[in-house]
Amino acid sequence: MTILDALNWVEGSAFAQAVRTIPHLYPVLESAHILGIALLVGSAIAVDLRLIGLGKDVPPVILVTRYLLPLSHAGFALVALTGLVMFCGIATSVVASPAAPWKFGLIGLAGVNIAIFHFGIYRQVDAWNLSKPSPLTAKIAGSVSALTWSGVIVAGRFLAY
Amino acid sequence: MTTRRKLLISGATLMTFALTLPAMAHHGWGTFDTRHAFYVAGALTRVRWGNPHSEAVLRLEPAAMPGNWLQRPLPQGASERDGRLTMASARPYTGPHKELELVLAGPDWMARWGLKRPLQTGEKIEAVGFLSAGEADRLRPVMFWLSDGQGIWQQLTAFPQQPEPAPAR
Repeated sequence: MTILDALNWVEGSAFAQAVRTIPHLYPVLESAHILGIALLVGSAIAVDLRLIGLGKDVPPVILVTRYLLPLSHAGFALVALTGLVMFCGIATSVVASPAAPWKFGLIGLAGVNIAIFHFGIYRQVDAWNLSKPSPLTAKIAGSVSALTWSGVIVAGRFLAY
Repeated sequence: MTTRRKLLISGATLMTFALTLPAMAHHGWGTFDTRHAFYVAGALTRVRWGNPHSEAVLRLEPAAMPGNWLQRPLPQGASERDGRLTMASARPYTGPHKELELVLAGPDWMARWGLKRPLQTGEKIEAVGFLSAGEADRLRPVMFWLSDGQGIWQQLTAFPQQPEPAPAR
């Protein structure tokens, strides 16, 4: 079974057909996907800006991350779930799109950046938690995060089926 | 569980899901060459009906322009101006492909334009529309006709370039 066979099987399944044809389901999925994007990217960029130095004398970094990152994760769960369901409906078209490697590649890059940040400079956050300039690596992590998530949105819009 | 560990697990989960994340996007006529319209006819060999939009594969039969083409009435809901410009630009498709992928409207718009049921594999249709600028085997109909003669309009947004009249026949 080739990948194309598998995608055709997904697209032809009763589940995929239901996703495509149940009245109003697709617009509802799209709306929930957008809400998920707002939660995921909105709170991620708010954290990124604090890492870069915005408002460094007001909220401690740990306050910002502990409050906003769970919201970001909830947003990710929502986009992943709604995205996966919509993917089933139009699997062959998504994979055939030249925007697909950009979108998935940028999501992967955002994930690597998250891992590097949390295994790395975030371990010493107590040293720059409040009223201290962020270390350069934290500023880089915040910038990479904001740029990659913005890029994911752009690639998503170009992911025409 | 520490916050850091939660964050790490979330990061790993994110990467796991990265390859399954699709997106929604919809495009107007911007990726189609709306200067030259093509007339095609044949039978549908594959139909993917539903949201966000339907697609079908049309196996082409050799076709000349039908008689009284320019007198043919436009389908229900048609834009008189864009419909007539498209009809006047239509020429028979003579490209290399034996099958064309048709980019069609979603079911809600289909119903508003008079088609309240899915197209069927094997069904014969005629269509006039524009080829994708990037993929020469994709055609987006401006309108199409069922075998009983019912016409179905397909255009919602403006053409980026005005259709040019077909060469004199």
